[in-house]
Amino acid sequence: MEKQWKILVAIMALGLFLWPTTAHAMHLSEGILPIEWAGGWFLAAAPFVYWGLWTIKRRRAEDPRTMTLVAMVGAAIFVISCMPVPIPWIGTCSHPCGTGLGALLIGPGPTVVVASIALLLQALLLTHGGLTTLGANIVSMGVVGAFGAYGVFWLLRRLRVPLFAAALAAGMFSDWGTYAMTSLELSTALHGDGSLWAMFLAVMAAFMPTQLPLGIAEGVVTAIAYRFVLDRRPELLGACPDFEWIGGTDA
Amino acid sequence: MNAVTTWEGVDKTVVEKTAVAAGHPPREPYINTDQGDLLLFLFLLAGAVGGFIVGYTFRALFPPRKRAGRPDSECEPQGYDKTITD
Repeated sequence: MEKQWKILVAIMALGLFLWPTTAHAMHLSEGILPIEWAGGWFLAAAPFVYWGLWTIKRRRAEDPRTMTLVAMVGAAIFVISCMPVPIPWIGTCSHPCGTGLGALLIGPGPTVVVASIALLLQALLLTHGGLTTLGANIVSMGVVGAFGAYGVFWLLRRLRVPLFAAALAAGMFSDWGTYAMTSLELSTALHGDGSLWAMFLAVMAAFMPTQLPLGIAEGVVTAIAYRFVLDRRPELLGACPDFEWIGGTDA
Repeated sequence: MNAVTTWEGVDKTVVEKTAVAAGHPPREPYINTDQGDLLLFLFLLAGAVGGFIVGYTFRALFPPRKRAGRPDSECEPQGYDKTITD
């Protein structure tokens, strides 16, 4: 039975490789934002990236094993965030973010750093996103995705919500929050003489049919993956100083 | 065939559409790898390298559970300690 599962997973993985269409979704393409807005988002992202680098450096000094987990999460975010997922009843594709799971495993600061590296590589090599819009993409996918998920998880655990449900909600919020931020970035820069909030709601509504199911799927995957790590290697999460604070140990 | 059935990404159906309507369409990427099969190759390469790193680190962090016939050195927790803490 286990062998059959392995064969099935191998066939699905092969299918993904044989259908590598360009996956653009939440990433803002090159040149979409006026230069002053693009620069502003770089400035907004910078302190989070700096804080993330500082956190990684501190944890690495305390426990070198942290770097293996950071590397795994970084590679996973890179792959997940350029993987187009078709939504059959809508007929469009979009991608999950992976930053919600990253935030629960390595913390939000380091997740911003690995998401920034993933976005830079995608912009340089895969025409996925853009160099001028990198700051805006870091803010939406890295900062909002990671800190939003972390905040939701922390809040729900404080309210004694079961761990699986809290992780599921964190993953969902990470996805939806990322696309909400993308809508805000687009509408603040491009609303012109029109209403900012009307444009924001219009863009959000256009994202919704694709992102609603994808966000739920990302939430489920996040919860399963978090549960897996907690079962198999809880000490990995314990290496994160915030772990006890967010109430993961009493699951 | 209309746009709904072409499996386009929401960047085309939402982001680009909004940007074009606002008079600020996307420009050509500074490094344009969308030429012929080059992008296909790069996506495949990125997926393979990313997948390898995920698999390698996953194996290091989550070694297989003990099973009959498998040497102890390949199983947790020894594998974890040997691989990671050095």
